[in-house]
Amino acid sequence: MTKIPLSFILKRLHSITGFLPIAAFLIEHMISNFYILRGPEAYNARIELLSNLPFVTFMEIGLIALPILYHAGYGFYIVLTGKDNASWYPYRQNWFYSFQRWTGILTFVYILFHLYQTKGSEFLYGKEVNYARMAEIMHVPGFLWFYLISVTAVMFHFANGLWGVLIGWGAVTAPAGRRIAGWICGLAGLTLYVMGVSALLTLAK
Amino acid sequence: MTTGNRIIKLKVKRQECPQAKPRWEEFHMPYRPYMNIVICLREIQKDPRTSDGKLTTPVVWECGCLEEVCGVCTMLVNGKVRQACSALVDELGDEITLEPMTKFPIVRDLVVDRSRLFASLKRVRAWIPFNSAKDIGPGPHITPQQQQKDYVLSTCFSCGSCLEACPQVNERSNFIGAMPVNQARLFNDHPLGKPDAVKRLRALVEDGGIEDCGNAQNCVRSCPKHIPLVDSLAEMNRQITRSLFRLFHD
Repeated sequence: MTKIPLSFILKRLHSITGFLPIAAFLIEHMISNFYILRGPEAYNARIELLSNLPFVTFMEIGLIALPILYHAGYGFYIVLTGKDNASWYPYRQNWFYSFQRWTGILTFVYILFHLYQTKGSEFLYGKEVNYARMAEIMHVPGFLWFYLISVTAVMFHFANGLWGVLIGWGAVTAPAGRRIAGWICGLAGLTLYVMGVSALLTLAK
Repeated sequence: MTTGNRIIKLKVKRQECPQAKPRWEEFHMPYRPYMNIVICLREIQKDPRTSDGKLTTPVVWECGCLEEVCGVCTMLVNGKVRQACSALVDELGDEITLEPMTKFPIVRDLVVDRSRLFASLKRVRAWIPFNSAKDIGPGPHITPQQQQKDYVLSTCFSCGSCLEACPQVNERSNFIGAMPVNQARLFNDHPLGKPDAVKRLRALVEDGGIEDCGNAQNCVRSCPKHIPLVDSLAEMNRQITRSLFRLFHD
């Protein structure tokens, strides 16, 4: 057996972590957030349900934290090996290339901050994560804006990344297929975006 | 055959040798109908004087076919990569900047060393692996449909535009760019090229191969022959995924 090139394994792993555990978690997260629209009781019950899942810490580390850390770490490496040129070649897809990198960086910063405000604050200051706590955060305009901008970045990164995965694994090859896949990915991103934003705005009310 | 007193201002980025510092020089010349960049550069050769009248060395550049099929006059015209021979002044305006390509080692002025393109063709085995003095019979039949499809892929003349426009090709990465990927597709498509198909795929997944593609798709926008390079990248990705389990078996 020939040696499988390390760069190939690392790149495909970056792709797999993005569209399997991370995208799946993102969808789950937006569905959970959607309970906010049903009111504090429903949302708190949802949190209760999730935090009582068996092996929840194990799943959080193995299926969420580690994949995100790997995806982000290798993502930063990808950012370093690229050289944006959208100002010289201002084509839509080239802008998307740049946006994918910027939104990736913003998303990572946002995730760290979000984690500090939720799990971090619970651990450090004993502030339990629930409807009231999230509403308290969203009533600070600066935080609300940061969350709104970050959710936009996350959803762009998700949709454009998913589309890239479809091309990167050769699932779609012809121009028509790529276009249709692009619309589907865009629509998926937009749906999650609407879900996320409506949850944030409900909290801020 | 000058028309009025319209003056074309040509700003050229010049560099004596790889070690020298680049500098800009401006040249003025009267406009002529149907002027292209090659004519402008020849105009400079006649009397190499900068716009302030100072005598200088003639600008060094390469050109071969003069009909956009050899690739050697590829350079940055007004910041965008293209062939000087097919760059018409009428479409460019009266102030034009010329720079050498940035993704290849510079030789002098507008001349770069594009030998990495040839190296990558060798890497992906962009040839038919049959070479026999004996008569081995007629070749396989290729349908007109496939001929038409492959003809477009075969029009690549290794100019390097797709590498120049690619954000993933730069001094911090060793990405081979879209051009050799398209050639691998062409020869994997050919019935006589098929025996080496897996070898080509393996060459594409080596370090700096197709995995480094960032999906910016500038390649397809910059290709002078409008080769569907994104289709080629996606198609080779598909072939790699399909043969993932036999790719490293032997």
